[in-house]
Amino acid sequence: MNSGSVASEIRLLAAEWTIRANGGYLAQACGSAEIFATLYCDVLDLSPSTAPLIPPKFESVPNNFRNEIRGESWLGEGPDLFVLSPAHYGTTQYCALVAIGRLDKKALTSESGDGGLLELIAAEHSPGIVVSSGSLATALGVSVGRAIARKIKNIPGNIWVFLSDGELQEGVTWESLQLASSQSLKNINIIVDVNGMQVDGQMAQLMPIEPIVDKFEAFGWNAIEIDGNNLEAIRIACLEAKNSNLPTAIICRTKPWLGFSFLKNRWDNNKLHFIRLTDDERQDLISEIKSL
Amino acid sequence: MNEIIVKPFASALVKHGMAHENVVVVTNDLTASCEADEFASTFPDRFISAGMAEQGLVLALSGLAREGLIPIFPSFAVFTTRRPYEQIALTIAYPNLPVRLFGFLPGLTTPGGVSHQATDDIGLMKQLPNMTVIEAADATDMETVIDGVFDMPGPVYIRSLRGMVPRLFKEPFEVGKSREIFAGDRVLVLVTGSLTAMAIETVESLRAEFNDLGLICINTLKPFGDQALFAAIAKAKVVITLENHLVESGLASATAMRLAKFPGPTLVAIGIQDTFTHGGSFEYLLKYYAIDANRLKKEIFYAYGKSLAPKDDDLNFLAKRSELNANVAEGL
Repeated sequence: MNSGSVASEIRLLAAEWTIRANGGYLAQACGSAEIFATLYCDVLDLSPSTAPLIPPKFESVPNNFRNEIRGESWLGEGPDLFVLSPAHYGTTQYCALVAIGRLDKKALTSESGDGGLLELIAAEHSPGIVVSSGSLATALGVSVGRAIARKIKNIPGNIWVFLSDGELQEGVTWESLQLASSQSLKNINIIVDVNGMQVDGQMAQLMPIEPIVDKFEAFGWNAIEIDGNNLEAIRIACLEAKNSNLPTAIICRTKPWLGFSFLKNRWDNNKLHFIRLTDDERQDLISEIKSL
Repeated sequence: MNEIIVKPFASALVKHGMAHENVVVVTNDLTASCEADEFASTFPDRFISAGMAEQGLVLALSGLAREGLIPIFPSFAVFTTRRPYEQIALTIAYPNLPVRLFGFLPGLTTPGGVSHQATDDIGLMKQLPNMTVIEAADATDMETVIDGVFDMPGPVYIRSLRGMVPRLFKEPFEVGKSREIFAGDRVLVLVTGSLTAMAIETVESLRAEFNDLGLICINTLKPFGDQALFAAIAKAKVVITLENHLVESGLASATAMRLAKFPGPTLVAIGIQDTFTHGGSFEYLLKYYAIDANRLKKEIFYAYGKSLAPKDDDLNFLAKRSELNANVAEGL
């Protein structure tokens, strides 16, 4: 698989989703397409999916009586584990799974409505989702626990956690970071998508979180800062993370408006978090997709 | 057809701010989403954007209140109540401070799935000593509740509706005062919040057949009940509660506590039954979890001893979605 074509496919599928559903988390996909593509093509060591290409219908939330579907099954059985923390990137994960052949493209349409598992805010029965973390900054701490367990049980493989910069505003993120470094974990790394936006607008104007690199280092983490839309830079940073003796955070500076021209205007107007297309935007997006 | 009011809370909050200089609004990145945007632009000096950091935000509410201000925190109900629960319990409820907590996206009104559906918020707040718990049912409630609780010395949690909200009531909200919609003393339906419009339509459609079928809307879950409500419950043979919440800790449980002290009618609890929930449209979820108009109609039939269940979907379903308008910055 070629990471460049996977990144393009993620953007295209996410755009088609947004047109079809008349709304979607498109900017999240556009900013992080290169991260997902590089992880799946060049970094993660995953065994084949144990789940079907078309997911079954929703059956149950976890309880004592039924075997609920586990979204983790689409990621196989290791040795690596990829944990998506911000569940608002569910669409990105579904599109990435399609692009790498772990999910049928038809599922994006047939399984994203009522009773389907491809929920707008992903839950842990959704394909590729390990922890229900629509309440942000939930998955990192769970991943730290799993990394500690794997260290105790001497299980090989790395846990890669995808974190969004907005989650750095939550205090529990920092509690999880201090636990990981206090345990000297080498089997967990974080990719932070620093797209600079939150629901209300641009983070720098609302609740600045810089200097991110210094903060990670102060919490005992190795931090690498890169251009998060550069495939080669992501690949090299992940390699460095794998070889590091410290838990490593890769701080990816990304542009959430990359790929479709109307998105930049929305960034400027603080309307990028969720895209409910206007008629003009819809026309522009359809014609741009056609010209791809 | 009910009149629909767009963003009733937004303008009410601005008016409230004009009338009371000591009111401040604090948000966690859901400013327009929870209709605080007009307040923020009208009173920038009394608006605090605290980021997605709810535990620290709630501690700050306590500090603001201790300095004599009246802080208002509007968020999605899961983030208002569950995420900073310890801080609410110990730094707001325990010292009995006048903080106003608003929780939007009640129950199954959001497609956002388990992380965004507040199905236990009423219970969490109800069990805190000193906390008053309210659930708004219509646009009038959302316009008047903030004034209605202004004089209360302690904390108040208000389960809220946003976006396009139907107007069901003319009289302004009054703490503790139940709203009798249809008088009837044999089978009594009690409803809260976002299901009220649906309950009105359903009960109205059956009143020709069952002229002693009553309906009361409960807007104050704690303290529970006024004399009019208790009198109606005492007369009824069957009480049916209808709520967009877990029955274990919401309206049904409050009613059950009353009936345990003053036994009488049979209680039939319609609501979410001891399960976490999943994402989907409001209409789909109400049907999936059997808290829709058809279920209510069936239970009313059973209460009258009629075994013939009505066929599905024969009501003009009126539980209007209380959100999803072009102004919000998310898709929930």
